[in-house]
Amino acid sequence: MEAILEFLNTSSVHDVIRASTWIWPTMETLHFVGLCLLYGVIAVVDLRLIGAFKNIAYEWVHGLIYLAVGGFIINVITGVLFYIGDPFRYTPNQSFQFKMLCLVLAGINLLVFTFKVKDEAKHVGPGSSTSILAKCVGAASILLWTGVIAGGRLIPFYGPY
Amino acid sequence: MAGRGTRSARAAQRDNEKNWQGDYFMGLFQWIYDSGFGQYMRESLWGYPIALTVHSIGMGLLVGVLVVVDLRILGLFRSRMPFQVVKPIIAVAIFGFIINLISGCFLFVSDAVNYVHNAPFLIKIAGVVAGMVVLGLMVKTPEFKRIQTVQAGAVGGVNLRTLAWASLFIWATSITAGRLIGYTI
Repeated sequence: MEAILEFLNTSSVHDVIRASTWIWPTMETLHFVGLCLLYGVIAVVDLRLIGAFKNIAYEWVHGLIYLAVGGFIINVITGVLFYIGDPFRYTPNQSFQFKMLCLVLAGINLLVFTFKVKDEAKHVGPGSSTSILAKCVGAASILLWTGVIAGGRLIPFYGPY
Repeated sequence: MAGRGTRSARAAQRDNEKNWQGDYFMGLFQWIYDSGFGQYMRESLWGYPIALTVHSIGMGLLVGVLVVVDLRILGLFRSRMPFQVVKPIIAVAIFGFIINLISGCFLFVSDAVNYVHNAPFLIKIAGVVAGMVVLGLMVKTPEFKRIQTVQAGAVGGVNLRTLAWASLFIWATSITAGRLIGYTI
């Protein structure tokens, strides 16, 4: 493990990231943009799955997931770059670990959604209710993604700096 | 002697807020800084981190949903998402705004005197005000009300689209400025 971190810490990607003082804040800003796209869409979709906004057909908001995926991709890219930029800071950081755990669980939840909930949800029209599983998946999703944000936001408070 | 902009000079300035005296309204912000509320936010272990976390969540909701609204006005997803989706989800954005207004006050009192002298902070507040004004203008246009009732496919006209572009630009500026506060305070 140490060897991997040492490798990242001395890699050329690491050097490029730390070359100019503007790179890190720019990446952070992009990470925020990705967060907003991802979380805003997730909130709307999950709220409908849970049963809010009943007079919207689920199908109408389902298309927004593409936007959320776009935000997620931006954040994975900037996130990986952050990690390479300071692997010794993030790896032992408890808040970062919590964030990654929530992320993995959110991914599993997404698989459940894709294979068990999505097809049935697409038939939920205005006024209709979603299944219990859909409600659980929606609730878990919004909780886990909130955990991801909280975990990320608290990183500086759990680390040396 | 260290110049005004160097780290040690800024740190000295922050430790000795008396340097800010003489500025207009500083009495008010000094009072806020010195208040029990301000002291609590500086001294409490969890106060600031929790406020900051709530603030990030609110930002995700507010800016995320408003970006969706703006993009829909500009025509994105128009074949899959009828315009009538827009009005209900604005409630989610307003919820985000409210929790950010509250958490923002918590954050502000912790360092009121310095925030008020921080350029990115002032730009951010101006941006948030402008963004909410633009949102209000958008929902009040007769056009917005008209296309609420039309099924999938309706797109905003020129005025509504212009407001939507302005909104996207304003919120992007606001979150960028917000991010830069920590680097410049």
